[in-house]
Amino acid sequence: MTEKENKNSNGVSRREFLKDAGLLVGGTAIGSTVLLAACGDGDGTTVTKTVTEPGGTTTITSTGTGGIETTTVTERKFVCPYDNIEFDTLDELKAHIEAEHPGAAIGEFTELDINGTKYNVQVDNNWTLQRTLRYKLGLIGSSKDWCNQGACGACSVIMDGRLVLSCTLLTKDCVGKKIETIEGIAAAKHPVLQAYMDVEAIQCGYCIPGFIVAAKALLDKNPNPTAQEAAEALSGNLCRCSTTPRQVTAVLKAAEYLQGGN
Amino acid sequence: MAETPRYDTALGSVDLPDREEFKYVGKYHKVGYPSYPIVTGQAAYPRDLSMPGMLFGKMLKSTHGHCSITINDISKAEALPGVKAILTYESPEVQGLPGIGAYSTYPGATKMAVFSNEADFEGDELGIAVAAESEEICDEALKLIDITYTPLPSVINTREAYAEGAPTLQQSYEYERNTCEESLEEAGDVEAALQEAEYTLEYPVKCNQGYHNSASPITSTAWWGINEQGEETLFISGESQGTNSTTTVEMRQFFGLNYSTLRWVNQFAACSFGGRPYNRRIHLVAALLSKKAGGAPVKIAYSRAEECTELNWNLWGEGDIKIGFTDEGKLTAYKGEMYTAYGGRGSFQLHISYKNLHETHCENYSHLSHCVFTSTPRVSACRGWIAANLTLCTVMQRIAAELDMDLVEVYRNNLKSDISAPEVLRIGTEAFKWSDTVHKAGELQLPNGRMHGQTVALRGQESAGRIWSGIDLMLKGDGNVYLTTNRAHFGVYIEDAVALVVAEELEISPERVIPVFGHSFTTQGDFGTGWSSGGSTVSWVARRAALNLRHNILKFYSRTLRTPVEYLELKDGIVSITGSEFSVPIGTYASAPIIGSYLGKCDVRPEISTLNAIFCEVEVDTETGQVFITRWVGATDGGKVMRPSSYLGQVEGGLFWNHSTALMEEFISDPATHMHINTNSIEYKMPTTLDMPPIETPYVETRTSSGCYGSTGIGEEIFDTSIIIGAVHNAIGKWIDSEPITPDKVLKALGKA
Repeated sequence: MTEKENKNSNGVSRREFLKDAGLLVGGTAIGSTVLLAACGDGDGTTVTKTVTEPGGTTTITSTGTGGIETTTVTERKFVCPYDNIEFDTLDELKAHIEAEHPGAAIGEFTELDINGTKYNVQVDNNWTLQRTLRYKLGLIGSSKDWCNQGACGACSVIMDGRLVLSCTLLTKDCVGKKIETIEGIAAAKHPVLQAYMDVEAIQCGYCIPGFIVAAKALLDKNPNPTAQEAAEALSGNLCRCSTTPRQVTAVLKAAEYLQGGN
Repeated sequence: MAETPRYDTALGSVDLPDREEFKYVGKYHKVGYPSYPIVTGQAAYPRDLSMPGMLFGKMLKSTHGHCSITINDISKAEALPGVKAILTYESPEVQGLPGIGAYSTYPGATKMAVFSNEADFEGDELGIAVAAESEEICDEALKLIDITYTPLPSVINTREAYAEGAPTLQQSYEYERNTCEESLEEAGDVEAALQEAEYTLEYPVKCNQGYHNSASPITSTAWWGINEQGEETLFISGESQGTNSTTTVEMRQFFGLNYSTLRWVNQFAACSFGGRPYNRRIHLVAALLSKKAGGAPVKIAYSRAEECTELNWNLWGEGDIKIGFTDEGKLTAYKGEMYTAYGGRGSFQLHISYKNLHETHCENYSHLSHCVFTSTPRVSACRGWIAANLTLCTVMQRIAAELDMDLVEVYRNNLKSDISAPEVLRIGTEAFKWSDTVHKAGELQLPNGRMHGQTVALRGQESAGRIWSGIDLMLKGDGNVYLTTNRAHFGVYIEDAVALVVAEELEISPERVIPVFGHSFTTQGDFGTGWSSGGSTVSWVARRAALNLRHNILKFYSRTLRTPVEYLELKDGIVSITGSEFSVPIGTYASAPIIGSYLGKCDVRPEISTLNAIFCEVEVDTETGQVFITRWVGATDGGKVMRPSSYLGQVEGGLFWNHSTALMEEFISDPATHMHINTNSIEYKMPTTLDMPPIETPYVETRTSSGCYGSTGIGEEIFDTSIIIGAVHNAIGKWIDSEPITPDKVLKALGKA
């Protein structure tokens, strides 16, 4: 059954995405932890993604150029942790638990506002936002797992306009906050992405979403930063491959694009 | 036009005419093919993998510097709900398995058992592994296994491990004085040459060691399934550099698999440079657990602390050097004895070598190297042989300092290379403006009160022809040429560099050469590793594959248009008939793909040297002891630059690691317990955007190496731990031979602490 469907028919190459492609990564109901990311160029690739999570599974089919322009959530199950009975909606699961397992300890149902979409997720009180993004919502971009102690910046997100580290935040403390991840920044077609690709401030790429989120947080407040300001803003992020020297260049290029430069 | 000949798959035997004019190679830039999924957060690394029915795996880790275990009872763990498979060194499934070979051709290289009851260092995997429904259940199961630990003597210092009477650190090998390799390089009569030398000098060298410390802690998920031919197949998502890498070859031997039945499925891999992908116990254990669990995916994901103790990069070595030289700074004699920490079994067989001193005219030398087991994590290369070839730089620096000579002149007086060395020194000194600030040690104080220092290090390349590569190209009816790459992207953008070579040879726009991640069915060869060792071979092979495709395209149109090949022309993506107005874009009429492929590797030409000259400027605050690196110039001879951004990335990588090694990174073990202390990202420091100074990378293209168009890999020969030591000496007139160079060491050298 389809819980939510979100389509865009713009069939453009991924290179053109900042101009007019419909990129619906963060805007979809649920992202995914993928088996294989499609990044072929020019092929209309179809990718089926499945999120495995405690309490349910989600199957997502993505179709389109580059594999991510059209994303359709085709199935989502809510599973009772006590008897494994599946439900189609969260409300049905809640009712079942109240009726069949009164007083049972169960993870909190929490509403999160991520990239402008409201999510109801069920997590234990000790779950970090990083863990929720990754294992409940399948948003692997902004939940990169490097240090797990707030030292590397790989799991950076923007919360109510502030750059924060999702590995050091409890999910329950994020209720009522507006959270922005790399998927949302991509969906918004922010010029910082094109700047990073043009400058190629990328090597293996694992840490790059964290850098881009930090760059976007800076540019939101200061759209025309100096090199020193850019260096300071990104100094909480680590890169092992050594893209560090090009990070500032990418941020300055993004500022140029924001102001209408090519 | 004459038909393009077809090039048979071969080992470096096909010479092609050199190319003088380039339309795309070294010039054209387009967004790299992996960039888009990376910047949008879509790129899935092994760490990110999640699958239906996936189990989690964990291995027991040693909490001793060296120990063995005896299993008393595993029944409680087996009975724990959620546990799906347990393997121990006593399990029938692991009996008779071959050991994992070290990445070495040395005959005495040790084998590491996949499941062993002996741990070589704290954090080493012991031979018990569990697969369960969650990581928490795995942890609980490991706790429920009744084990008796027998602590064994451990030694972390190389000289202590080598000393007479040192405890045996490998119970199953019992090498004399824990020495697993001993090598002697010598020529001439070094003792006589030292006697006759106008000057002699003795000094110690010491190299620091660090964690590999990948951005993503190492992760592997393995499962058994069926491939498109219906064969039982092992699928793995894990860090590996290639389908034909050492890891893959060994795994095929383990399980009796072949190219089609062992598949690496991850398109992205984090920081899989250097020797990290060769540490393959994690992949083997995941595959064995999956087999026992009926083929279900088993994911083993190390923590940050486990990642730190899983692998160390390069060398923890020390030794003593004695040199003789003339008053013109010419090296006439060299005698060195080195002790290199090998770590635990399964390490790279690296040692501090004499290699780069072969670039000099010195004819009397003796270099004795001891490679010694220690109770420290396995050792691997990491973005280059960081310390392995420091000998040239330290010798030149010491001579220049002793004679108060310009270091650049000392290099010029000593190096044999008559093409690359003069060129990198000329271009590098001009870019650095070397002569504007050259000074004797400790003699230039800056207006800000800091002391100024500068240095240059030269390193020889050894990066062409080391590996095989297979390239599959496919022209489809849409006019695009698809370039199959069957190994994960890990940062070099080698596919995009290769695409430029293909475009150049086919005379089509680079926009029409499209890398595609997938399985190679034609050559069944590894696409090849990155820029450091493989780039030159990959591009060498790609050029031949492109010419084979060109040959096949012309054959196809000859048949289709019923026109002899010599009347056909292929230019700018158009096929035309000479003397006719007829022309069609390539791909037209191609109802089936036209294939061009090649499998081979280029010749190694050791007689030709290409070199890198790395210039560094520092400022030293003599009040606080802080060292500030203020400028880098990397004049690196890539032979021929293929893709400027990739070239720059490799140079930046080398300079970053120099910086990081010299000033920040330090693997610390507690001297009493031999436990690793700083296995986290807070206490283990790396440079950030606030630390890195400006980098200049002037092109040097001598076209003298054996890769495509005279290119060579550059990534491995930019690091040198002794660079910053020399720059700091030039600033304060003191040698600090222990890295990282922290303020306390500077103040101590200055007599202030």
